[in-house]
Amino acid sequence: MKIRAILALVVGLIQSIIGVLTIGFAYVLNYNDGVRKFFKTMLDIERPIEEVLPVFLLLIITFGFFSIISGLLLIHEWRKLR
Amino acid sequence: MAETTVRKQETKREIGLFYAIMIALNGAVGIEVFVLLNYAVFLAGPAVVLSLLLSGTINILTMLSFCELGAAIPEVGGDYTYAKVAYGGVIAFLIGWLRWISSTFGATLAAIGFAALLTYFIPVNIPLIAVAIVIVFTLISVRGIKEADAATVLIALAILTAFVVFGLGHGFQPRAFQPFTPKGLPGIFAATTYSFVMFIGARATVAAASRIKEPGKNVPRAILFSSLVIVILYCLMAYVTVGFTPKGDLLNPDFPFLTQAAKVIMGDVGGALITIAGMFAAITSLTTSMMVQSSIVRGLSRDGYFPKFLLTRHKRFGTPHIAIIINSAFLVLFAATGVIQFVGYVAGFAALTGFALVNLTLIKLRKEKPLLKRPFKAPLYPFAPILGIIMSIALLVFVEASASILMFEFIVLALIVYYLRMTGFHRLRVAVGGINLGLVGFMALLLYLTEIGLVPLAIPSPVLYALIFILLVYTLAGILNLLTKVR
Repeated sequence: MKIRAILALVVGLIQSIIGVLTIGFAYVLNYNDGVRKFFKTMLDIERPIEEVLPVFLLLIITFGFFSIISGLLLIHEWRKLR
Repeated sequence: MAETTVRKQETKREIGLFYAIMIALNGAVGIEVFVLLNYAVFLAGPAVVLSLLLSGTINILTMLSFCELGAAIPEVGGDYTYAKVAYGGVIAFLIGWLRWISSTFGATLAAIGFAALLTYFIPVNIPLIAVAIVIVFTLISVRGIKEADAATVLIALAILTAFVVFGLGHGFQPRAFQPFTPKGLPGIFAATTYSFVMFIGARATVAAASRIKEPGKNVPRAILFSSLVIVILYCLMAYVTVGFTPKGDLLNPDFPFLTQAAKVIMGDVGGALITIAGMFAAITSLTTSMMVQSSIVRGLSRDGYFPKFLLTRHKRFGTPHIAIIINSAFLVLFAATGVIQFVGYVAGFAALTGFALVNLTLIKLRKEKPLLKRPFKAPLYPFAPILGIIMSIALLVFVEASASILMFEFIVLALIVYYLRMTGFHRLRVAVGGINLGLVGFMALLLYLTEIGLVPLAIPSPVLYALIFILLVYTLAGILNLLTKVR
């Protein structure tokens, strides 16, 4: 049980941090032209990035929020198990 | 579980008609007219006067829904409580949530607007001042604040009225109204929808309905009287603003046209006075929004959606201090952005969605609870509420895409919160576990297709390693959530 609790804490923390970083990335993507260009090149998008950005932001922010929620649930489990 | 009936309210009814009107005016005389009039003029040109008249008239028609519901169900929680009686469950929670977001961003808009207007007198850091004003009013609210400060409302109204009187005294400015409709009817309608949120503040009365004497009479009177005053005043203000706003190089598009017109009419004193009126309006908006926030949060806590400790009252001051402080933490967070337009759009989106749902509530209650005691019955039923719904939905088209996305996120979050409370913690954990593993499967497939060249993605090595690490973390998270022992 102790190993499970520690695993829940570690995975929960990493997942929450990933979530926060993802939302931070969405913010940077929205405001930084350099990051936008990198993103456009990486995904090989032919259309202007401004046209597709809202959809990508939606996906990225949803993923970020989901990660935070999932991570917090695991941290909650650690609190109950310890 | 939320109950479908409203619990007998315990607060004392101590607010008379005059103070109820002050609460309504406190909500109605807001920062919006200072912030939004510039763009409305850009859309409609001098015909913005017609746009405001149309928008105000439609708003009065839809305010009738609030009058009927506020008079029939004068309880804590306002819009949320009506939806609870009509729908219960997730719809009621969603309306409460949207109203909370609307008031949170409304208060943020007021704080940022106050700071922006202050720059007329001294150069300031807008986000810093916005945060400071939120903190000051949080402390005041914890000590106990009235729903409306009659003096503040009356001073703001007096200055705005003086602006109109002086402007009209200068006579008609025919050249300023040529051409009258530079963008034709589409421009007029666009400005009508854009300016709609200027008029909806009077609904704040319903948040205080649980403390108003004879709510069956006083709630509708307060809402309708203040709405009428605001429609007339704002139309005249728009008329004077169009007549006296400087043209060409003399115009500063970044500053409220109202201030610039006041400067032309009454000199530097006029500009300063109208800016002060704007700052007063910002304060009334801030206090009203904080009051509504508190009312909604208490309503949601009362019904078990939010934790019960939010209902705790301060031993000395008797105020719901924990709810106020937590609400204010959100205000500080958003005020720190200092981005007025984005915050305005989010507040508008939430308000409009909530507005449409309240009109739906009225229609549903008329059909399903015909025997509900209605001291005030909205005339023009069902046309008025249907028009309110159409206007609200039409307005959503004009909301900026990023604000719409944020609102979508908030609605998803609301649904998660609701199901977390209603469907049980264990089921939620299992669902989250499943989504984690689903994401892993999707990402793994995408990476595989990229590797074999079927998907043309140029993923650099560091990003690829990061994605593999994320896949491992999410696999573990999925398994841990699925096999949870905590119920």
